Amino acid sequence: MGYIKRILDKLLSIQERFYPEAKPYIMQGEGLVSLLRVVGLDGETLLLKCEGGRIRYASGDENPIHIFKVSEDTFLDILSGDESLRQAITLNHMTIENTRTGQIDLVEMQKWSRAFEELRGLLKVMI
Amino acid sequence: MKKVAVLSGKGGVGKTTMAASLAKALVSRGFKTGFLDSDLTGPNALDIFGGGELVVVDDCFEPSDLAGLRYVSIAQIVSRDEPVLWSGEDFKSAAVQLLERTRWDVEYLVVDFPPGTGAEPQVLLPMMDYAVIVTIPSHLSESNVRRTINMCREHGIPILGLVKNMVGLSCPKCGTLITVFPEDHSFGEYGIPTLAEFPLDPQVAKEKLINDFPIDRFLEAMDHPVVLKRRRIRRSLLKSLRNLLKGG
Repeated sequence: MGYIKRILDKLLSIQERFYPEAKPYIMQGEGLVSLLRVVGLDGETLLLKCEGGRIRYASGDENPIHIFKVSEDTFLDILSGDESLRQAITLNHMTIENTRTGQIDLVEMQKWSRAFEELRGLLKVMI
Repeated sequence: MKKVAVLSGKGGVGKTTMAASLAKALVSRGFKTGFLDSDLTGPNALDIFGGGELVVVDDCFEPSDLAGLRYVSIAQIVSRDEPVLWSGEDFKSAAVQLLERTRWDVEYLVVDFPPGTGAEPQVLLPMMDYAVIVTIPSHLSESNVRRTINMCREHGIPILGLVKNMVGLSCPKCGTLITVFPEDHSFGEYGIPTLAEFPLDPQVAKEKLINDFPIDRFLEAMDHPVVLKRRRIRRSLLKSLRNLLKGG
């Protein structure tokens, strides 16, 4: 997981550059906390939270509304564009759980899949 | 909102075509109508209606609109060419969410069920008001259709009638009806009326819809005394159950 952490450190440090374009999507969840749990092959996990319009490391004592769970392999595939978020969800490589119901959340799946598709489109234009 | 399940125990009998034709016929009669494709592992209603955008508004799905028909399919959420590899519990939950987290705003909701009596039918059927059963005159279809009829009876869902599909082949040259399947199951012991019979028709295969779906017979079936009685019994049972759960 060490190299995932290094990648994440770099991504978090450059998020300010993308913030103006990403703001409408990030602000969808303003006031709410969702956690992304990246699970390594060794079982170690990294927790990220989207809060206050920025993505940060989470401590684990938050009360998130949704928990996104993904393996490090899939996390890298999504970052590299080898797998779309929609594919990852369909193939059960990524799960989005509503913590209130303990079940998958279709609305959240659709929101994030659309957001990622639009962000990818933006990044293609920017890079 | 009256929720009508279109189902059959057997795959490939034309459920989606019938459900879509029924929905379009309701729209053409001026009813506000919705269509839910609840076949989560093999959704293909989008092949008929086209792939509209499923928008999220206030944490609910806003159905796509096709000439007045409001429709939702899991195919608008998952990756189109990938298999959906979720657990049975996830399928159940997803089926209920598609139904309950959509702003339908319709008078009729036609629900295209998956084949069989698996996870999604089990969880969705008790939420339906009526059922229409699609069958073909094949002995392979018969036992599956019986299971489906009994599943509806188990849940007290009134069956409006049978739609018999692929009843022969209409010769495109002379119009003669050629028998394809030798059997003809009427399921008479259940006292279920036949709403319609359709032969195999290349025109339907091309247009993906039946333009002359007998909507009058469908609407009349809703007012049939047996159907009304079953509805009353079911409502009464549900009311008693609710009171019981409230401790009343």
